[in-house]
Amino acid sequence: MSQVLVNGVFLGCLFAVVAVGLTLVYGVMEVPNFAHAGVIVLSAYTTWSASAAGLPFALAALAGIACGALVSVLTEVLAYRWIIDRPAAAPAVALGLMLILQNVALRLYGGEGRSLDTPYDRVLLRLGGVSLSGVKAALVVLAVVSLLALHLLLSRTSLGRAMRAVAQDREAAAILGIPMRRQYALAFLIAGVLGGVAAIAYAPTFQVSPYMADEVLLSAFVVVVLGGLGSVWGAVAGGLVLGVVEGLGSAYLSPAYQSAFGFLLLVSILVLRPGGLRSTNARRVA
Amino acid sequence: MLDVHDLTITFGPTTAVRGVSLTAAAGTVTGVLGANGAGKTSTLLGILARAPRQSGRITFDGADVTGFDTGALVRAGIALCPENRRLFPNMSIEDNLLLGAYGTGRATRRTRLRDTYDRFGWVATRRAEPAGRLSGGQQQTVAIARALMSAPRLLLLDEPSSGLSPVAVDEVGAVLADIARDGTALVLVEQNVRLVRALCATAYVLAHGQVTASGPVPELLSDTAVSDAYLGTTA
Repeated sequence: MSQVLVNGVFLGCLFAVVAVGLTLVYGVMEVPNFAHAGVIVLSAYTTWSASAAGLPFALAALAGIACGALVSVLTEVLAYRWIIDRPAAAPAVALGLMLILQNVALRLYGGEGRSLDTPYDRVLLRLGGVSLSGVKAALVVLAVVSLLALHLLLSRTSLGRAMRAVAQDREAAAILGIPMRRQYALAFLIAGVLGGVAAIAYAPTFQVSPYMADEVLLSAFVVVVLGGLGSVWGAVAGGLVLGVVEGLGSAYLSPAYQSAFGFLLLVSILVLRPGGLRSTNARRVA
Repeated sequence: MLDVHDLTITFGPTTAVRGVSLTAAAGTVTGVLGANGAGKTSTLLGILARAPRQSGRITFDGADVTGFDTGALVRAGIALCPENRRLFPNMSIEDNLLLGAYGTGRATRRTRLRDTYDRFGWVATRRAEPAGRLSGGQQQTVAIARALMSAPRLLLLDEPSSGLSPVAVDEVGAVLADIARDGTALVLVEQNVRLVRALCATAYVLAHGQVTASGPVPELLSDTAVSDAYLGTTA
Protein backbone atom coordinates (compact mmCIF):
# COMPACT_ATOMS: atom_id res chain seq x y z
CA MET A 1 0.00 0.00 0.00
CA SER A 2 2.79 2.46 0.96
CA GLN A 3 4.63 1.70 -2.26
CA VAL A 4 1.46 2.33 -4.27
CA LEU A 5 0.93 5.65 -2.53
CA VAL A 6 4.52 6.73 -3.18
CA ASN A 7 4.16 5.83 -6.85
CA GLY A 8 0.91 7.82 -6.88
CA VAL A 9 2.66 10.83 -5.38
CA PHE A 10 5.36 10.57 -8.06
CA LEU A 11 2.71 10.56 -10.75
CA GLY A 12 0.86 13.38 -8.98
CA CYS A 13 3.98 15.56 -8.89
CA LEU A 14 4.41 15.11 -12.63
CA PHE A 15 0.77 15.98 -13.29
CA ALA A 16 1.00 18.98 -10.95
CA VAL A 17 4.08 20.50 -12.63
CA VAL A 18 2.52 20.21 -16.08
CA ALA A 19 -0.93 21.31 -14.89
CA VAL A 20 0.36 24.38 -13.06
CA GLY A 21 1.93 25.61 -16.32
CA LEU A 22 -1.39 25.10 -18.09
CA THR A 23 -3.54 26.69 -15.41
CA LEU A 24 -1.23 29.71 -15.08
CA VAL A 25 -1.58 30.47 -18.78
CA TYR A 26 -5.31 29.84 -18.66
CA GLY A 27 -5.70 32.09 -15.63
CA VAL A 28 -3.89 35.01 -17.23
CA MET A 29 -4.87 34.66 -20.87
CA GLU A 30 -7.78 32.18 -20.98
CA VAL A 31 -5.98 29.97 -23.48
CA PRO A 32 -6.18 26.14 -23.34
CA ASN A 33 -2.50 25.76 -24.14
CA PHE A 34 -2.27 22.37 -25.90
CA ALA A 35 1.07 23.59 -27.32
CA HIS A 36 2.50 22.89 -23.86
CA ALA A 37 2.96 19.26 -25.01
CA GLY A 38 5.19 20.49 -27.85
CA VAL A 39 7.17 22.65 -25.41
CA ILE A 40 7.82 19.58 -23.22
CA VAL A 41 8.88 17.53 -26.26
CA LEU A 42 11.36 20.14 -27.53
CA SER A 43 12.76 20.60 -24.00
CA ALA A 44 13.32 16.86 -23.68
CA TYR A 45 15.00 16.64 -27.10
CA THR A 46 17.24 19.63 -26.31
CA THR A 47 18.33 17.98 -23.05
CA TRP A 48 18.90 14.68 -24.86
CA SER A 49 20.94 16.23 -27.71
CA ALA A 50 23.01 18.39 -25.33
CA SER A 51 23.69 15.34 -23.18
CA ALA A 52 24.54 13.24 -26.24
CA ALA A 53 26.95 15.98 -27.37
CA GLY A 54 28.91 15.45 -24.16
CA LEU A 55 27.57 18.22 -21.91
CA PRO A 56 27.25 17.35 -18.20
CA PHE A 57 23.65 16.39 -17.36
CA ALA A 58 23.06 19.48 -15.21
CA LEU A 59 24.01 21.80 -18.08
CA ALA A 60 22.02 19.74 -20.57
CA ALA A 61 19.00 20.00 -18.24
CA LEU A 62 19.42 23.77 -18.00
CA ALA A 63 19.60 23.95 -21.80
CA GLY A 64 16.35 21.94 -21.96
CA ILE A 65 14.60 24.26 -19.50
CA ALA A 66 15.86 27.34 -21.38
CA CYS A 67 14.55 25.85 -24.62
CA GLY A 68 11.14 25.22 -23.01
CA ALA A 69 10.98 28.82 -21.77
CA LEU A 70 11.97 30.22 -25.15
CA VAL A 71 9.59 28.09 -27.21
CA SER A 72 6.73 28.81 -24.79
CA VAL A 73 7.27 32.59 -24.99
CA LEU A 74 7.50 32.35 -28.78
CA THR A 75 4.08 30.66 -28.96
CA GLU A 76 2.65 33.61 -27.04
CA VAL A 77 4.44 36.33 -29.02
CA LEU A 78 3.91 34.79 -32.46
CA ALA A 79 0.45 33.26 -32.08
CA TYR A 80 -1.66 33.66 -28.92
CA ARG A 81 -1.05 37.42 -28.62
CA TRP A 82 -2.81 37.99 -31.93
CA ILE A 83 -6.01 36.24 -30.93
CA ILE A 84 -6.43 37.66 -27.43
CA ASP A 85 -9.68 39.36 -28.48
CA ARG A 86 -10.93 36.24 -30.29
CA PRO A 87 -11.09 33.57 -27.55
CA ALA A 88 -13.13 31.22 -29.74
CA ALA A 89 -10.06 30.79 -31.96
CA ALA A 90 -7.76 29.84 -29.07
CA PRO A 91 -8.38 26.05 -28.97
CA ALA A 92 -7.78 25.68 -32.72
CA VAL A 93 -4.62 27.81 -32.59
CA ALA A 94 -3.39 25.86 -29.56
CA LEU A 95 -3.98 22.53 -31.28
CA GLY A 96 -2.25 23.79 -34.43
CA LEU A 97 0.76 24.95 -32.43
CA MET A 98 1.01 21.57 -30.72
CA LEU A 99 1.07 19.80 -34.09
CA ILE A 100 3.65 22.26 -35.45
CA LEU A 101 5.98 21.79 -32.47
CA GLN A 102 5.63 18.01 -32.52
CA ASN A 103 6.38 17.96 -36.24
CA VAL A 104 9.41 20.19 -35.74
CA ALA A 105 10.68 17.54 -33.32
CA LEU A 106 9.79 14.78 -35.79
CA ARG A 107 11.63 16.58 -38.58
CA LEU A 108 14.72 17.33 -36.49
CA TYR A 109 15.08 14.07 -34.56
CA GLY A 110 12.95 11.49 -36.37
CA GLY A 111 10.22 9.32 -34.81
CA GLU A 112 12.55 6.89 -33.09
CA GLY A 113 12.45 6.95 -29.28
CA ARG A 114 15.62 8.18 -27.55
CA SER A 115 16.78 7.21 -24.12
CA LEU A 116 17.76 10.05 -21.79
CA ASP A 117 20.41 8.88 -19.29
CA THR A 118 20.92 10.68 -16.00
CA PRO A 119 23.61 10.44 -13.31
CA TYR A 120 20.98 9.09 -10.89
CA ASP A 121 19.62 6.30 -13.12
CA ARG A 122 20.96 3.55 -10.87
CA VAL A 123 20.17 5.20 -7.54
CA LEU A 124 17.53 3.38 -5.48
CA LEU A 125 16.27 4.92 -2.25
CA ARG A 126 14.77 2.58 0.38
CA LEU A 127 12.79 3.59 3.44
CA GLY A 128 11.15 0.73 5.32
CA GLY A 129 9.27 -1.30 2.76
CA VAL A 130 9.12 1.55 0.27
CA SER A 131 11.60 2.03 -2.54
CA LEU A 132 11.94 4.96 -4.92
CA SER A 133 14.18 5.16 -7.94
CA GLY A 134 16.56 8.09 -8.29
CA VAL A 135 14.67 9.32 -11.33
CA LYS A 136 11.37 9.39 -9.46
CA ALA A 137 12.93 10.99 -6.38
CA ALA A 138 14.47 13.67 -8.61
CA LEU A 139 11.08 14.41 -10.12
CA VAL A 140 9.47 14.80 -6.69
CA VAL A 141 12.29 17.11 -5.54
CA LEU A 142 12.20 19.18 -8.74
CA ALA A 143 8.41 19.47 -8.54
CA VAL A 144 8.45 20.62 -4.91
CA VAL A 145 11.29 23.12 -5.50
CA SER A 146 9.79 24.60 -8.67
CA LEU A 147 6.27 24.88 -7.19
CA LEU A 148 7.61 26.51 -4.03
CA ALA A 149 9.59 28.97 -6.16
CA LEU A 150 6.43 29.75 -8.11
CA HIS A 151 4.49 30.24 -4.89
CA LEU A 152 7.08 32.75 -3.66
CA LEU A 153 7.05 34.56 -7.00
CA LEU A 154 3.26 34.86 -7.03
CA SER A 155 2.83 35.81 -3.38
CA ARG A 156 5.91 37.89 -2.57
CA THR A 157 6.85 39.83 -5.68
CA SER A 158 5.36 42.74 -7.55
CA LEU A 159 5.36 40.73 -10.78
CA GLY A 160 3.49 37.85 -9.17
CA ARG A 161 0.97 40.22 -7.62
CA ALA A 162 0.38 41.80 -11.01
CA MET A 163 -0.07 38.38 -12.59
CA ARG A 164 -2.71 37.46 -10.02
CA ALA A 165 -4.44 40.78 -10.66
CA VAL A 166 -4.49 40.20 -14.42
CA ALA A 167 -6.00 36.76 -13.84
CA GLN A 168 -8.78 38.22 -11.68
CA ASP A 169 -9.71 41.29 -13.71
CA ARG A 170 -7.71 42.13 -16.81
CA GLU A 171 -9.26 45.57 -17.41
CA ALA A 172 -8.93 46.66 -13.78
CA ALA A 173 -5.26 45.67 -13.91
CA ALA A 174 -4.74 47.61 -17.14
CA ILE A 175 -6.31 50.72 -15.57
CA LEU A 176 -3.60 50.60 -12.90
CA GLY A 177 -0.95 50.78 -15.62
CA ILE A 178 0.07 47.10 -15.46
CA PRO A 179 1.47 46.17 -18.89
CA MET A 180 -0.63 43.30 -20.19
CA ARG A 181 1.80 42.01 -22.79
CA ARG A 182 4.57 41.65 -20.25
CA GLN A 183 2.25 39.66 -17.99
CA TYR A 184 1.22 37.35 -20.82
CA ALA A 185 4.86 36.75 -21.80
CA LEU A 186 5.79 36.15 -18.15
CA ALA A 187 3.01 33.57 -17.72
CA PHE A 188 4.24 31.70 -20.79
CA LEU A 189 7.85 31.98 -19.62
CA ILE A 190 6.99 30.38 -16.27
CA ALA A 191 4.87 27.72 -17.98
CA GLY A 192 7.80 26.98 -20.32
CA VAL A 193 10.22 26.63 -17.41
CA LEU A 194 7.79 24.23 -15.68
CA GLY A 195 7.39 22.34 -18.98
CA GLY A 196 11.18 22.05 -19.16
CA VAL A 197 11.33 20.81 -15.57
CA ALA A 198 8.64 18.23 -16.36
CA ALA A 199 10.54 17.14 -19.46
CA ILE A 200 13.88 16.54 -17.78
CA ALA A 201 12.21 14.98 -14.76
CA TYR A 202 10.08 12.40 -16.47
CA ALA A 203 11.79 11.82 -19.84
CA PRO A 204 14.27 9.39 -18.20
CA THR A 205 11.39 7.12 -17.12
CA PHE A 206 9.93 7.04 -20.63
CA GLN A 207 11.55 7.57 -24.00
CA VAL A 208 12.04 10.94 -25.64
CA SER A 209 9.74 11.02 -28.66
CA PRO A 210 7.58 13.62 -30.46
CA TYR A 211 4.44 12.24 -28.80
CA MET A 212 5.85 11.58 -25.32
CA ALA A 213 3.73 14.32 -23.68
CA ASP A 214 0.33 13.54 -25.17
CA GLU A 215 -0.98 11.38 -22.33
CA VAL A 216 0.55 13.59 -19.65
CA LEU A 217 -1.09 16.63 -21.26
CA LEU A 218 -4.48 14.90 -21.19
CA SER A 219 -4.07 14.01 -17.52
CA ALA A 220 -2.84 17.55 -16.77
CA PHE A 221 -5.97 19.02 -18.33
CA VAL A 222 -8.04 16.71 -16.13
CA VAL A 223 -6.05 18.11 -13.19
CA VAL A 224 -6.64 21.72 -14.29
CA VAL A 225 -10.40 21.15 -14.41
CA LEU A 226 -10.31 19.18 -11.14
CA GLY A 227 -8.43 21.94 -9.37
CA GLY A 228 -10.53 24.77 -10.74
CA LEU A 229 -9.52 26.66 -13.89
CA GLY A 230 -6.78 29.17 -13.16
CA SER A 231 -6.02 27.91 -9.65
CA VAL A 232 -2.37 27.06 -9.07
CA TRP A 233 -2.92 25.39 -5.70
CA GLY A 234 -5.99 23.65 -7.06
CA ALA A 235 -3.76 22.19 -9.77
CA VAL A 236 -1.24 20.99 -7.20
CA ALA A 237 -3.99 19.38 -5.10
CA GLY A 238 -5.69 17.98 -8.21
CA GLY A 239 -2.40 16.57 -9.50
CA LEU A 240 -1.70 14.72 -6.27
CA VAL A 241 -5.27 13.41 -5.98
CA LEU A 242 -5.28 12.22 -9.59
CA GLY A 243 -1.84 10.63 -9.25
CA VAL A 244 -2.80 8.71 -6.12
CA VAL A 245 -6.19 7.64 -7.53
CA GLU A 246 -4.63 6.42 -10.78
CA GLY A 247 -1.85 4.68 -8.81
CA LEU A 248 -4.32 2.91 -6.50
CA GLY A 249 -6.65 2.02 -9.37
CA SER A 250 -3.96 0.49 -11.52
CA ALA A 251 -2.42 -1.41 -8.56
CA TYR A 252 -5.61 -2.86 -7.12
CA LEU A 253 -7.97 -3.06 -10.09
CA SER A 254 -6.25 -3.00 -13.47
CA PRO A 255 -3.40 -0.94 -14.97
CA ALA A 256 -5.23 -1.11 -18.31
CA TYR A 257 -7.77 1.39 -17.03
CA GLN A 258 -5.32 3.81 -15.39
CA SER A 259 -6.59 6.86 -17.33
CA ALA A 260 -10.21 5.78 -16.89
CA PHE A 261 -9.86 6.14 -13.10
CA GLY A 262 -8.80 9.73 -13.64
CA PHE A 263 -11.83 10.55 -15.74
CA LEU A 264 -14.11 8.78 -13.29
CA LEU A 265 -12.66 10.98 -10.56
CA LEU A 266 -13.13 14.06 -12.75
CA VAL A 267 -16.81 13.31 -13.35
CA SER A 268 -17.40 12.55 -9.66
CA ILE A 269 -15.80 15.79 -8.47
CA LEU A 270 -17.53 17.92 -11.10
CA VAL A 271 -20.89 16.45 -10.08
CA LEU A 272 -20.22 17.43 -6.46
CA ARG A 273 -18.29 20.69 -7.10
CA PRO A 274 -18.88 22.01 -10.64
CA GLY A 275 -16.17 24.67 -10.24
CA GLY A 276 -13.49 22.14 -9.25
CA LEU A 277 -11.69 21.63 -5.93
CA ARG A 278 -10.87 25.34 -5.51
CA SER A 279 -13.91 26.85 -7.13
CA THR A 280 -14.53 30.57 -6.83
CA ASN A 281 -16.65 33.18 -8.55
CA ALA A 282 -13.59 35.06 -9.77
CA ARG A 283 -10.72 33.73 -11.86
CA ARG A 284 -7.40 33.89 -10.12
CA VAL A 285 -3.86 32.67 -10.15
CA ALA A 286 -2.94 31.75 -6.60
CA MET B 1 -3.52 70.86 -15.32
CA LEU B 2 -5.78 68.78 -17.64
CA ASP B 3 -6.97 70.06 -20.98
CA VAL B 4 -9.06 67.76 -23.16
CA HIS B 5 -9.76 69.17 -26.58
CA ASP B 6 -12.24 67.81 -29.11
CA LEU B 7 -12.14 64.20 -27.88
CA THR B 8 -14.02 61.66 -29.98
CA ILE B 9 -14.32 57.99 -29.02
CA THR B 10 -15.90 55.23 -31.07
CA PHE B 11 -16.63 51.59 -30.31
CA GLY B 12 -17.04 49.93 -33.69
CA PRO B 13 -19.87 51.73 -35.48
CA THR B 14 -21.01 53.53 -32.31
CA THR B 15 -19.69 56.98 -31.42
CA ALA B 16 -19.73 57.24 -27.62
CA VAL B 17 -18.06 60.65 -27.28
CA ARG B 18 -18.23 63.45 -29.88
CA GLY B 19 -15.82 66.34 -29.71
CA VAL B 20 -15.79 66.71 -25.93
CA SER B 21 -13.56 69.45 -24.52
CA LEU B 22 -13.02 70.00 -20.81
CA THR B 23 -10.45 71.33 -18.37
CA ALA B 24 -9.59 70.57 -14.75
CA ALA B 25 -7.35 72.60 -12.46
CA ALA B 26 -5.18 71.54 -9.52
CA GLY B 27 -6.94 71.46 -6.17
CA THR B 28 -10.44 71.56 -7.67
CA VAL B 29 -13.18 69.02 -8.29
CA THR B 30 -14.67 69.17 -11.79
CA GLY B 31 -17.97 67.39 -12.26
CA VAL B 32 -19.05 65.48 -15.34
CA LEU B 33 -22.81 64.95 -15.28
CA GLY B 34 -25.29 63.24 -17.50
CA ALA B 35 -27.78 60.44 -17.84
CA ASN B 36 -26.79 56.80 -18.37
CA GLY B 37 -25.17 56.32 -21.77
CA ALA B 38 -24.24 60.01 -22.10
CA GLY B 39 -20.55 59.18 -22.59
CA LYS B 40 -19.23 60.05 -19.12
CA THR B 41 -17.40 56.77 -18.46
CA SER B 42 -16.09 56.66 -22.03
CA THR B 43 -14.67 60.15 -21.59
CA LEU B 44 -12.72 59.08 -18.49
CA LEU B 45 -11.55 55.88 -20.17
CA GLY B 46 -10.53 57.90 -23.23
CA ILE B 47 -8.42 60.25 -21.11
CA LEU B 48 -6.60 57.21 -19.67
CA ALA B 49 -6.19 55.55 -23.12
CA ARG B 50 -8.54 52.70 -22.20
CA ALA B 51 -11.07 53.54 -24.94
CA PRO B 52 -10.35 53.91 -28.68
CA ARG B 53 -9.81 57.62 -29.41
CA GLN B 54 -10.58 58.68 -32.96
CA SER B 55 -9.48 62.27 -32.54
CA GLY B 56 -8.72 64.92 -29.98
CA ARG B 57 -5.77 66.21 -28.00
CA ILE B 58 -5.05 65.72 -24.32
CA THR B 59 -2.65 68.01 -22.50
CA PHE B 60 -1.56 67.31 -18.94
CA ASP B 61 0.57 69.79 -17.02
CA GLY B 62 1.37 71.56 -20.29
CA ALA B 63 2.64 68.40 -22.02
CA ASP B 64 0.85 66.70 -24.89
CA VAL B 65 0.05 63.17 -23.62
CA THR B 66 -2.33 62.22 -26.43
CA GLY B 67 -0.19 59.34 -27.70
CA PHE B 68 0.70 57.95 -24.26
CA ASP B 69 -0.41 54.44 -23.30
CA THR B 70 -2.12 53.80 -19.95
CA GLY B 71 1.09 52.88 -18.14
CA ALA B 72 2.79 56.09 -19.26
CA LEU B 73 -0.24 58.17 -18.24
CA VAL B 74 -0.27 56.58 -14.78
CA ARG B 75 3.44 57.29 -14.42
CA ALA B 76 2.80 60.86 -15.59
CA GLY B 77 0.38 61.32 -12.68
CA ILE B 78 -3.13 60.36 -13.84
CA ALA B 79 -5.14 57.69 -12.00
CA LEU B 80 -8.65 56.35 -12.44
CA CYS B 81 -10.91 55.04 -9.72
CA PRO B 82 -13.27 52.99 -11.92
CA GLU B 83 -16.98 52.42 -11.76
CA ASN B 84 -17.97 49.63 -9.32
CA ARG B 85 -14.56 49.90 -7.64
CA ARG B 86 -13.03 46.96 -9.57
CA LEU B 87 -11.00 45.73 -6.60
CA PHE B 88 -9.43 42.28 -6.85
CA PRO B 89 -11.76 40.46 -4.45
CA ASN B 90 -9.61 37.40 -3.74
CA MET B 91 -6.50 39.44 -3.00
CA SER B 92 -5.75 41.09 0.32
CA ILE B 93 -6.44 44.77 0.85
CA GLU B 94 -2.70 45.39 1.08
CA ASP B 95 -2.04 43.59 -2.20
CA ASN B 96 -4.76 45.71 -3.81
CA LEU B 97 -3.09 48.85 -2.52
CA LEU B 98 0.38 47.76 -3.64
CA LEU B 99 -0.95 47.15 -7.16
CA GLY B 100 -1.85 50.83 -7.26
CA ALA B 101 1.87 51.60 -7.05
CA TYR B 102 2.89 49.04 -9.70
CA GLY B 103 6.16 49.93 -11.40
CA THR B 104 7.58 51.95 -8.49
CA GLY B 105 10.50 50.83 -6.32
CA ARG B 106 10.07 48.83 -3.13
CA ALA B 107 10.96 51.78 -0.88
CA THR B 108 8.46 54.05 -2.66
CA ARG B 109 5.72 51.42 -2.35
CA ARG B 110 6.38 51.04 1.38
CA THR B 111 6.36 54.81 1.95
CA ARG B 112 3.09 55.28 0.10
CA LEU B 113 1.57 52.32 1.91
CA ARG B 114 2.49 53.91 5.24
CA ASP B 115 0.97 57.23 4.11
CA THR B 116 -2.20 55.41 3.08
CA TYR B 117 -2.48 53.69 6.46
CA ASP B 118 -1.94 57.04 8.17
CA ARG B 119 -4.76 58.55 6.15
CA PHE B 120 -7.17 55.61 6.39
CA GLY B 121 -6.53 54.09 9.81
CA TRP B 122 -9.08 51.27 9.63
CA VAL B 123 -7.55 50.00 6.38
CA ALA B 124 -4.30 49.20 8.21
CA THR B 125 -6.08 47.05 10.77
CA ARG B 126 -7.77 44.98 8.06
CA ARG B 127 -4.97 44.94 5.50
CA ALA B 128 -4.64 41.12 5.39
CA GLU B 129 -8.33 40.52 4.66
CA PRO B 130 -9.54 39.75 1.14
CA ALA B 131 -10.92 42.95 -0.40
CA GLY B 132 -14.10 41.11 -1.41
CA ARG B 133 -15.14 40.85 2.25
CA LEU B 134 -15.49 44.62 2.72
CA SER B 135 -18.77 46.52 2.57
CA GLY B 136 -19.48 48.72 -0.45
CA GLY B 137 -18.40 51.93 1.29
CA GLN B 138 -15.22 50.32 2.62
CA GLN B 139 -14.42 48.95 -0.84
CA GLN B 140 -14.86 52.44 -2.29
CA THR B 141 -12.41 53.85 0.25
CA VAL B 142 -9.89 51.13 -0.63
CA ALA B 143 -10.42 51.79 -4.36
CA ILE B 144 -9.68 55.50 -3.81
CA ALA B 145 -6.69 54.63 -1.63
CA ARG B 146 -5.41 52.26 -4.35
CA ALA B 147 -5.68 55.04 -6.94
CA LEU B 148 -3.78 57.36 -4.60
CA MET B 149 -0.95 54.81 -4.31
CA SER B 150 0.32 55.96 -7.73
CA ALA B 151 0.64 59.50 -6.25
CA PRO B 152 -1.56 61.05 -8.92
CA ARG B 153 -1.86 64.77 -9.56
CA LEU B 154 -5.08 64.11 -11.46
CA LEU B 155 -7.63 61.64 -10.10
CA LEU B 156 -10.51 60.52 -12.32
CA LEU B 157 -13.48 59.12 -10.38
CA ASP B 158 -16.33 57.21 -11.99
CA GLU B 159 -19.50 57.24 -9.87
CA PRO B 160 -17.85 56.73 -6.47
CA SER B 161 -21.23 56.97 -4.71
CA SER B 162 -22.79 54.19 -6.76
CA GLY B 163 -24.49 51.61 -4.54
CA LEU B 164 -23.49 53.29 -1.28
CA SER B 165 -25.64 54.26 1.70
CA PRO B 166 -26.11 58.01 2.38
CA VAL B 167 -23.69 57.77 5.32
CA ALA B 168 -21.06 56.07 3.16
CA VAL B 169 -21.56 58.71 0.45
CA ASP B 170 -20.85 61.43 3.00
CA GLU B 171 -17.70 59.62 4.12
CA VAL B 172 -16.48 59.24 0.54
CA GLY B 173 -17.27 62.91 -0.09
CA ALA B 174 -15.15 63.93 2.91
CA VAL B 175 -12.24 61.84 1.63
CA LEU B 176 -12.47 63.40 -1.85
CA ALA B 177 -12.61 66.92 -0.44
CA ASP B 178 -9.52 66.14 1.60
CA ILE B 179 -7.67 64.90 -1.49
CA ALA B 180 -8.58 68.04 -3.45
CA ARG B 181 -7.38 70.22 -0.56
CA ASP B 182 -3.97 68.57 -0.93
CA GLY B 183 -3.74 70.02 -4.45
CA THR B 184 -4.85 67.04 -6.54
CA ALA B 185 -7.16 67.78 -9.47
CA LEU B 186 -10.31 65.63 -9.40
CA VAL B 187 -12.63 64.88 -12.31
CA LEU B 188 -15.81 63.42 -10.86
CA VAL B 189 -18.38 61.54 -12.92
CA GLU B 190 -21.43 61.43 -10.68
CA GLN B 191 -25.23 61.28 -10.63
CA ASN B 192 -25.60 62.03 -6.93
CA VAL B 193 -26.65 65.68 -6.87
CA ARG B 194 -25.82 66.12 -3.20
CA LEU B 195 -22.25 64.96 -3.72
CA VAL B 196 -21.82 67.10 -6.83
CA ARG B 197 -23.14 70.14 -5.01
CA ALA B 198 -20.87 69.51 -2.04
CA LEU B 199 -17.67 68.96 -4.01
CA CYS B 200 -17.69 70.48 -7.47
CA ALA B 201 -17.06 74.12 -8.31
CA THR B 202 -17.66 73.63 -12.03
CA ALA B 203 -19.21 70.88 -14.09
CA TYR B 204 -19.88 69.72 -17.63
CA VAL B 205 -23.17 68.17 -18.65
CA LEU B 206 -23.01 65.47 -21.32
CA ALA B 207 -25.81 64.13 -23.49
CA HIS B 208 -25.42 61.72 -26.39
CA GLY B 209 -21.64 62.01 -26.14
CA GLN B 210 -21.56 65.80 -26.39
CA VAL B 211 -21.14 68.64 -23.91
CA THR B 212 -24.52 70.36 -23.75
CA ALA B 213 -23.84 72.70 -20.84
CA SER B 214 -20.98 73.72 -18.59
CA GLY B 215 -20.25 76.27 -15.89
CA PRO B 216 -20.44 76.81 -12.15
CA VAL B 217 -22.36 74.02 -10.41
CA PRO B 218 -24.89 76.24 -8.61
CA GLU B 219 -25.95 77.74 -11.95
CA LEU B 220 -26.16 74.35 -13.67
CA LEU B 221 -28.17 72.80 -10.85
CA SER B 222 -30.56 75.73 -10.70
CA ASP B 223 -31.45 75.03 -14.31
CA THR B 224 -34.39 72.67 -13.82
CA ALA B 225 -34.13 71.44 -17.40
CA VAL B 226 -30.59 70.25 -16.75
CA SER B 227 -31.46 68.72 -13.39
CA ASP B 228 -34.53 66.89 -14.64
CA ALA B 229 -33.04 65.67 -17.88
CA TYR B 230 -29.58 64.61 -16.77
CA LEU B 231 -29.67 64.02 -13.05
CA GLY B 232 -33.15 62.60 -12.73
CA THR B 233 -34.17 65.03 -10.01
CA THR B 234 -34.65 68.69 -9.42
CA ALA B 235 -31.82 70.15 -7.36
